[in-house]
Amino acid sequence: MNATLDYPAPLAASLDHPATVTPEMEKTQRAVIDASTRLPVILFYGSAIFWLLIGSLLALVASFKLNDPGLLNQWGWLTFGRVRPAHLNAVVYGWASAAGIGTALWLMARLCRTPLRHSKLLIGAAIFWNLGVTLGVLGILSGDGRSIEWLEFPNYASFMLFVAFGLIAVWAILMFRFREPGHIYVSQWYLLAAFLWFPWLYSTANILLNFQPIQGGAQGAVNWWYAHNTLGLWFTPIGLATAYYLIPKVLGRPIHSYYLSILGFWSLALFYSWNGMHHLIGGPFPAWLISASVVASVMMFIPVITTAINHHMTVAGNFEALKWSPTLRFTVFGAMCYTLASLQGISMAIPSLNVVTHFTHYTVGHAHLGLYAFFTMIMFGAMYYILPRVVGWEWPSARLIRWHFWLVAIGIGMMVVVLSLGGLLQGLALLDPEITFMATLDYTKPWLFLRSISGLLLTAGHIIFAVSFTLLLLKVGATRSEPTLFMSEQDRQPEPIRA
Amino acid sequence: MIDDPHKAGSDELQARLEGEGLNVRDVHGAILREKDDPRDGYEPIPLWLVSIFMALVFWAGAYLSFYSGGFQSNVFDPVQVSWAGGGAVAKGPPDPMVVGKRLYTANCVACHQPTGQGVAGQFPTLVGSEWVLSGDWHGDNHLVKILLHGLQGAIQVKGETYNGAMPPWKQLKDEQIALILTYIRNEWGNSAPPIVAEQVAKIREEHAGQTEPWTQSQLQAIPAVIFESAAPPAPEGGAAPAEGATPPGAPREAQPVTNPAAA
Repeated sequence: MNATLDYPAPLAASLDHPATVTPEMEKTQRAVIDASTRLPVILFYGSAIFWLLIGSLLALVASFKLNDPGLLNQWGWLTFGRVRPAHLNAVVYGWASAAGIGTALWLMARLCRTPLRHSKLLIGAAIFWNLGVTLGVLGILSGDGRSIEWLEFPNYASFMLFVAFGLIAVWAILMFRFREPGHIYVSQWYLLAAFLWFPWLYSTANILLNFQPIQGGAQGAVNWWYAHNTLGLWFTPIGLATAYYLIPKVLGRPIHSYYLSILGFWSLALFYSWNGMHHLIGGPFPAWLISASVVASVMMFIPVITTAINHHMTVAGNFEALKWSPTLRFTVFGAMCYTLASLQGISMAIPSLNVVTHFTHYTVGHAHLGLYAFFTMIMFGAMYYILPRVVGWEWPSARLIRWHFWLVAIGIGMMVVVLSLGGLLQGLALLDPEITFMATLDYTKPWLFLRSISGLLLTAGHIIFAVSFTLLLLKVGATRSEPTLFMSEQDRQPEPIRA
Repeated sequence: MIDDPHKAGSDELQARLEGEGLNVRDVHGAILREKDDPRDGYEPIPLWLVSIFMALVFWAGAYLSFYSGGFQSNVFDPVQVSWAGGGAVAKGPPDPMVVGKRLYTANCVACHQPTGQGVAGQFPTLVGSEWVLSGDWHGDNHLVKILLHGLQGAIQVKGETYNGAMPPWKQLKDEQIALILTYIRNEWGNSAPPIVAEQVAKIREEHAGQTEPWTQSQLQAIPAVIFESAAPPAPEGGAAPAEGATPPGAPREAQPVTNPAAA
């Protein structure tokens, strides 16, 4: 690696004399930065979209099996006990994590105001990551899976993921170390934290559950500490970092309040890692462990409301923009669902409500509200923003984007609603000693059927998105420098804001 | 000038920029049109929000002081972490009538019906039946045997003849059989002392070799036994036991249920 990077003249000039930076120089700088992220971003995004399709397929099989338990049972590798964890791990590690990494490394380069360094580390990481996910999903389907929720990947796969992640963490630290001087924007805090938190979570959980297993009930505690923190200290910070960047960026407004950003970040860091134990309410754990988790879960109100106000006040007065900007529509949808999912999660941690929702489909609905309606939607928004800049080609069709949005928005809305209602009925029935267990299963049938329908909508949306992505990569269509928006610029009044 | 291999992707762009005198219009349109990078606003945190957060912090302290079990590693009592809390309110064992009804619904209603009336000629009624209430020549032991091993051939119940087959239910646990019997002996106006799991276990052991369902004549040959622990000390007439016998909750006394965390 060179000691000094060779920047194009205007960029180098701007670094030596920051006061002389012109808007044109900034644009050139952005172009150089975006071009430097091209290969790693496309690798991570491409594989993420591939795993999204695989994950959707596995989800459909698992969902259909809940309607017709005998379906496809002649093949051991397609039994529910394998397909369901294969779905979970394919979407968590294959799709969401890879999409998050792709977004995060583009954001890191933009926020560090420097072209991406050491892209070999990232390309190596992408290869290891995909190898790990491939081996892991195949391992689960072939019967090698472990019975630890969210960590079902067999050892040989989880080790590869860890190597991949180690490379990314080293890269993130190097990027941050060699950033251009200046103010550190809130998105950067979340990204750097996520890149340090996740390897800590993943290695600790794997060591304590796998390589040097601790004894007895404590395994359950470690399991849920990991699984919940993956949501809260990995996906949430990346999702929020993206929203914190894209919302003000597309609107051209400052983020509402720096002070709220600080409060939101540090209260998340303080409270989140205590949350996992609320999955174990009623379990054989010391009372203080559960109570501390209940308290920390309720205290999540602070970062959630703080972030919600910060995002909402930034968009406030500009909701018109949701009509034409795909990026903003997906991102704001996700940011709003972050608030919803978090408030719902807080309510589910309160023991008297947890008694009803625990062990029901309500929890499944909540998981999809968090990982899909919040995180995945923001990732879609980020991809719509980042990919044209990285590839150097506009999205081929606004109609495809529109179909994508409405299919997944209606699909996920329907899924969350039917699973929540069905889950509540199921939970109340399970609590009634006069209702037999078999009868409680009967109550869930119509809701699970509707869930399968919503899964079909989501999958259709994903296929459309994958087609759109492929056309973009192949640079299909005429050369344009106009953005692909839901509405042409003439239709928008008064001030055109461009995505 | 450009010799950094890590920026290979940007080579072409840079070359173009330089070759064309840094004409930024050649830079991709998406980058040209985008707004400035995000920056911070500096609105203050509203006071009402701080007040709500402070109230939450106060609540958190209160909750922990009530429900943390003194932060001891050996306090597990779920009661202490429930909303209802406020002290170790020991929950009694579940009501055998409720659990018994659940088991009856899951296993017995298909033949004996939710009303316990059965089906004429096939499945005998349980309501007021001397077989159930240990009247006539019947004993508690006969009732348990029927559930464990089944019953076949024609039988007489309350003067009616029935000729269906009762399958064996020995796959159920002693506790479950006891609960079902306790339930049917105290539902639909029936009233008889409960059956306890220990008695079921004893009979199961005594007749471990019984593979065929019983017949009425076989059972009749076995002397009736009224279980002692279940029967009230009141004199036994052989018919329906005295009113106001042990309440349904009683059988569990034979098997003390302790609340380990209450200690």
